[in-house]
Amino acid sequence: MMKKKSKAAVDGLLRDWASRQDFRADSLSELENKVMRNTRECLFEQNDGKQAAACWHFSMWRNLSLASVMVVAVVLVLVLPFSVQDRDIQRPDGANVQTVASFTPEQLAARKVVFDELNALFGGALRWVSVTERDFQFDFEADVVRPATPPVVLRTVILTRSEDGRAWEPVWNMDVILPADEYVTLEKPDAPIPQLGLWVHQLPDGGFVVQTDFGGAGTLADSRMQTFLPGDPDVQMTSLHSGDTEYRVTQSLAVIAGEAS
Amino acid sequence: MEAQEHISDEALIAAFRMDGMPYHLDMLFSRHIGKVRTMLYQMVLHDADADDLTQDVFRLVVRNIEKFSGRAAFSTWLYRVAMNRAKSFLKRRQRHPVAYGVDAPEPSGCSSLEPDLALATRELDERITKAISMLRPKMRAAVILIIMQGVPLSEAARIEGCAIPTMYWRVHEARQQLRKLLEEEL
Repeated sequence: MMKKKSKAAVDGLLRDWASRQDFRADSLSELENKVMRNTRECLFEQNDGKQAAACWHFSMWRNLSLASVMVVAVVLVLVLPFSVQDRDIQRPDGANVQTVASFTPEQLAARKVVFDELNALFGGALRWVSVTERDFQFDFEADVVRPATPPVVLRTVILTRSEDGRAWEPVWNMDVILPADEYVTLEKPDAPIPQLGLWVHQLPDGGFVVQTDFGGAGTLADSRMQTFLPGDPDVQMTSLHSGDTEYRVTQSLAVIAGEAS
Repeated sequence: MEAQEHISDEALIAAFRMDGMPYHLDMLFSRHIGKVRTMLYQMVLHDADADDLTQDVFRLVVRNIEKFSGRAAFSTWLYRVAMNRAKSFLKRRQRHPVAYGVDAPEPSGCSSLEPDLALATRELDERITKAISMLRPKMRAAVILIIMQGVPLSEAARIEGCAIPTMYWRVHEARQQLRKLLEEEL
């Protein structure tokens, strides 16, 4: 009985709170006008051919068959020869990082194949793919509407060294293929930065902002970095210090053109 | 236009697909915008963010209206888009949370309350807002859909893309947490 009363009391408090947060009618009307304006802009863009809305037929991913596994295997074969190579970035002075962080046309083409194949395999439900020199990970979610922006390849290379001048060691080194505004969380429990959150946002002028969240219990835990990449493709390098440890974060980004979206 | 008030959401979408006229969507969206905005505010607990997200959600819906298959009700699809957008936003914001309650709106109708009562209500609202902000996004979504919006359990489970028992468990857990956080108010 007490439990029931307590449940009703919590629900009552919440419902009363909700009723007091009512949105004012004039604000709602203003918001409605903005939504109507946006609707027309979106329709205009679509009719103008800038945002071709491809019909999306979700094929049941639960029915993954041997054929699907074969496709993943084929994708792996395509991915790994073009993956980022750790040995190239272990230069003692870290001078070659900028070069390593740039894309070759073959790598970009391979990334596009990976994204397109996996996206087709999961009926358009693919959220993102990350590719390292050893493996690739991906995530997908059915029935989720995504922004109609082409995906981008974001390469993130993070090196670390102690201030006694030892060689640079790679911490993270991967390409993530993701649509703008999709938040990606990657984990590597044993790394000095065990968790990495990535988010890319396209600005109206065509440039990109990349937000990188450093999570977990590492030395940069709970800190955030924002990088502005005005062009496509573009590369930015940032140096970070935490105690006696120095980090060098290099990020490069390129838009994958074509049908993938 | 008045006759359209009796047309179902799905019929409005069909009409838009036939002639491409935006006023079908205007009618459709005006039915849901208030509820979407309310749900988004309850998720992100910040007025300006809720306004931005509302616009964002309807932009996404326009761009993807062709993908609406009609297997579920339009409202289910729309609320799912809204909740996913809010959760994605909260994920991004989690390391830099806003100071909840700082820009909390005045309780509606507070001008008619006695000043002491208005102040007490405001303080209570701030405590409840803070308690809600401490729930994980999935728990928060469950509380909003089922307790605040009165969405049936099965419908809420479809919106959240989970099984009914999972949704039931989330509401139960959220209630337990809120009971502890709001002990003094109960």
